[in-house]
Amino acid sequence: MSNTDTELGPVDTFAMVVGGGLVLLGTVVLGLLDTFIGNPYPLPVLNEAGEVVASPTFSVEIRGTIIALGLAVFALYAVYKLFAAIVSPETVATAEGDVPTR
Amino acid sequence: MRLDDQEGLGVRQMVDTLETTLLGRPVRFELSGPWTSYMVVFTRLLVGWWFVYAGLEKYANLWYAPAEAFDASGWLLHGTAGAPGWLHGFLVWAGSTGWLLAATNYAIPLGELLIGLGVLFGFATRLAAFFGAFLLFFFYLGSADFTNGYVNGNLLGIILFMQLIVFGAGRIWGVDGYLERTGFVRNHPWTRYLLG
Repeated sequence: MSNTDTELGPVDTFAMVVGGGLVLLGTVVLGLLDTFIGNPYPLPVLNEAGEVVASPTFSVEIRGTIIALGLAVFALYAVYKLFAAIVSPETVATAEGDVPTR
Repeated sequence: MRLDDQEGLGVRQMVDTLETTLLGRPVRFELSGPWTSYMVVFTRLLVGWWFVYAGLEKYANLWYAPAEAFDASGWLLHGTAGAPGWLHGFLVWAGSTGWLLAATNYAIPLGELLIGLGVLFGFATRLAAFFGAFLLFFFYLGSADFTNGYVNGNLLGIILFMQLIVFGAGRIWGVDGYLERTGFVRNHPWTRYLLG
């Protein structure tokens, strides 16, 4: 296969580091901490009366929002790539290296 | 691509070597060209049918009398209580605002169907996959079905759609493979971010 070595710009690197980092923070890192600190389950534990007897250390509010921000970074990056290609068409083939193949 | 004779055993397979840098660090690894291509198409077909079916079953009332017309209000108003507050508030507002609920009831089945068909046939694959991930974002956080953890089917679906975008999966046995060889696409390279 051809060498697909490409140099990423700061926006690409930002999307990789921040987007992926936030998703991994919300799922893996906080998930690991959540498992070993207090209630190990990601949702509140209820008793038979429906009362909350144990809450997760990191609420859905926190973890869900962090993951959402990470996914939003990826989405914004995708939109940016499209508009950057419209403004500077010459960057498409050279930056991606994914010329059409059969 | 080269044919490798692995460990001199006479087993020859097509091996590709990918050389690049990842966040400044060199990366070099070999992969099987045929298996990589196969898995891209395999994934595309499964994900495509996933969404085609999700769209079709919401129209089932058109040919199956017991089925009811799709109505998102139940989920929007009562199925999103576990979502983060900012999203729950938005979804409840959408479910209780007449015109927005009507638009949602129209857009979700049609969107799922079009996304599924696009991915299944590899037509406007990146565009379809983007909106597939967009829809799943709301299903993932709106339903907040985290009983078995935060990595669930909806999140993995988002990741699969992202992979289809990165691979440009429609170029392998897909309509986009033909479209990208047309003069129009070659003269308008930005369209490849919608195809691929």
